[in-house]
Amino acid sequence: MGRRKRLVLLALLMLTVAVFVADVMVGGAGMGLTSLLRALFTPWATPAVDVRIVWDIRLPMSLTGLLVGAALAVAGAQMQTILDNPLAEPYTLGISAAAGFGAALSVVIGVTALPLGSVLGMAGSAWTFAMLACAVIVVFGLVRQANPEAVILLGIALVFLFSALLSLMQYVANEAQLQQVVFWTLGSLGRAGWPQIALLATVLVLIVPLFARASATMTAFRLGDARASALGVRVQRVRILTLIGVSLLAATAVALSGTIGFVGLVGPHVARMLVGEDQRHFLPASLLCGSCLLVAASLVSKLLVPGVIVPVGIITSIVGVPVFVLLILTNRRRSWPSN
Amino acid sequence: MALELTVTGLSFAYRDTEVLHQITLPPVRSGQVTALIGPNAAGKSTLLRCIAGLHQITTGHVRLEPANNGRRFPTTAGERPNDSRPGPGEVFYLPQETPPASSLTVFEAVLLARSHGGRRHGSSKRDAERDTGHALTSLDLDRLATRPISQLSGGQRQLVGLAQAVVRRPAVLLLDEPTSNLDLRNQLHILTLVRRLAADQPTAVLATVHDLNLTARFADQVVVLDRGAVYAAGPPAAVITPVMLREVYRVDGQVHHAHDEDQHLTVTAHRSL
Repeated sequence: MGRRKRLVLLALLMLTVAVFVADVMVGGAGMGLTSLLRALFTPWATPAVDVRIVWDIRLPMSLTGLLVGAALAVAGAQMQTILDNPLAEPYTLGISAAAGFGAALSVVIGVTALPLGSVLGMAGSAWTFAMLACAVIVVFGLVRQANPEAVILLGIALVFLFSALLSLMQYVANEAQLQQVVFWTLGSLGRAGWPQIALLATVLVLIVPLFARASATMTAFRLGDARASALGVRVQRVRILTLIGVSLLAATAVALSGTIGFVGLVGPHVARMLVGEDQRHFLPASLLCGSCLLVAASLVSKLLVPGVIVPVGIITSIVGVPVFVLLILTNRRRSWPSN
Repeated sequence: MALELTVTGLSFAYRDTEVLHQITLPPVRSGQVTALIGPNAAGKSTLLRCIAGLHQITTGHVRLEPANNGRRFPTTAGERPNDSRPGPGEVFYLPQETPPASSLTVFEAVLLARSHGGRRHGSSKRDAERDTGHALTSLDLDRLATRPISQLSGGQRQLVGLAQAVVRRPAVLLLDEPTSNLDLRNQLHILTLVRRLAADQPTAVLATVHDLNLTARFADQVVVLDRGAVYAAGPPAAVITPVMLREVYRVDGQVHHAHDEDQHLTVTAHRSL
C-alpha cells in the first residue's frame, strides 16, 4: 500500500520536472534546445540575448509557477484539513481578495498616500493586505476558540468585503490605473524577479518541513476534533498555528503572482484522489500537484496564442476545470466523503 | 504491573454551572470492566472527558497507581498530591461519535493512534507498522486494512476505534457509548471484545453503556451517575435494582435474576413515572 503511494509520488515528481523543463523551453523567442542548454550551463560562452531570455525571463517565470503552485496547494491542503471543509483555500478565505485590494490601493491611491508605498510597490501592498486578512482570521479564530465554521464564514465575508473595496478602487481609478489593476488581478507569473522568488522559496523551505514534521498531528484532524484530542492533539492550538503558517504561504504566493484561483482548491483534491489523506503522502502529493498544475497552465498559456502570453490566472480555470470534472466523474473513490 | 485508576472528589463546572459534583469512584482496576450508567445528561461523557484530561477539573484528583489490594499507598511528606496523575498516553479515550467518513484508510487510522502521543511513541517505523498489523489481525480487521473509513459500517468503524486502543496499549481505556448505533449482534461483539481487551492487555476499562441488560452481563462493577453525582456503585446485581430504576431513571421496572452461574439480570421497564 505504502509502496503504491510512493510510486505515485515519484510519478508526480517526474511529471512536474517534465512540465517544468517544457515550460522553460517554450517561449516567445524561438530558441533551440542547444542554445537553451548553453545559456543555462555555460552562460559565459553564449550570446548575451539568449542568456537574458533564459535567466531573466524563462527561468524566473517557470520557477514562480513551480513555487506559487506549491505554496497555494499546500496552503489549500492544510486549510481543508484543519477546517474540515473541502472548499477551504486561500481564495475562498479572502486572502486573494485582500491581496487584490492591496495591489489596487497602491496603484490608485499610490505612493503619496501610503508612506511605504514606493518601497512596497504593488506586491508589497498586496502582501500587507493579505497578511492583514489572515491576521483578522487568526485573531477571530483565537476569540472564537478556532471554531472551523465561524472561521470559514468570516473568510467568505472577507471575500465580499475586499471584492467590494477592489471594485471601489476600480471605480475611482483612471484608465491607465484601471488597466494595471485589472492585469494584476488576472494573475501572472511574469512579475516576479529573483529576489521575490528567493523570498517565496524561503517561506516554503521554512514552513513545509514544519508541516511535514507534524504530519501525524495533521492526519489526526481527519478523525474529527474529539478523536484528535483523544490522541493527544491540542486541536485549537494546532489549528491557529497552522492558520498562521498557511497565511504566510498564501500571502507571499498571491503577492507575487496576483489572483490565481483553482490551484489551491484543486491541487489538494487531486492529491487526495491519488494518495488519500495520510499526510505522509498527502502533503508532498498536494505540493507536487499544485506545482505541476500551475506550470502546466503556464505552458498552455504560452502555447495558446502564438507570440502572446495569456495571463495564467485565466488559463488555470479554463483548462483545469474540465480536467478536474473528468477526474471527479471517473474517480470511484470519493475524495471528500460524507456520511 | 496491575494498575488502578482512582477518582476522588472530582468536580467540574462549565462556566458557572456545576456539571459534576464531588465524584468519587471505586478503584477502576486493570483487567476489569467498569460500567458507568445513568440517564441522559447525568454527566457520564463529561466525567470520561475529565478523566481523560480534556476538561480542566475544578477540584479533585485523578490518579493512576499500582493496585495495592485496597491498602493506601504510603505517601511521603514532600510528595505533591498530583504525583500519580496518569501520564500522557496512559489514558485513551474513545469518543461517542465514530470517526467521520474520511478517505483515511483503516490501516492509516490505526497506525496514527500508534505513532501519535501514545506510550510507545517514538519507536521505529517498522515496529509501528508491525504492531498496527497485529492489532488489525486481533480484531479481524486485516481484510479491511486498505479500505477508506468512509466505506465502513458503523460496527466496523467502532472496531477501528478499538483497534486504535489495542495498538496504543493504554493503562486506562475510556469508552463513551461503544455500543450506540449498533445492532444487537454488533453490540454483543464489541462488548465481548472490550472484555477480552481488558483482560489481555491488561487495561482498566471504564465505559458508559445505556443498555442495562448488557451492563449487567459485561461489567465487573457498575457506577450509577445521577445529575452529576454518584448515586451508587458496586457489583451489577447490587446496583441495578427496582429502587434505582425508580429514583434515577424514573421508570417503574422490574429486575429478574437468572439463576445461572453468570448471574444475568433482565431489566424490564413498565412505564415512566
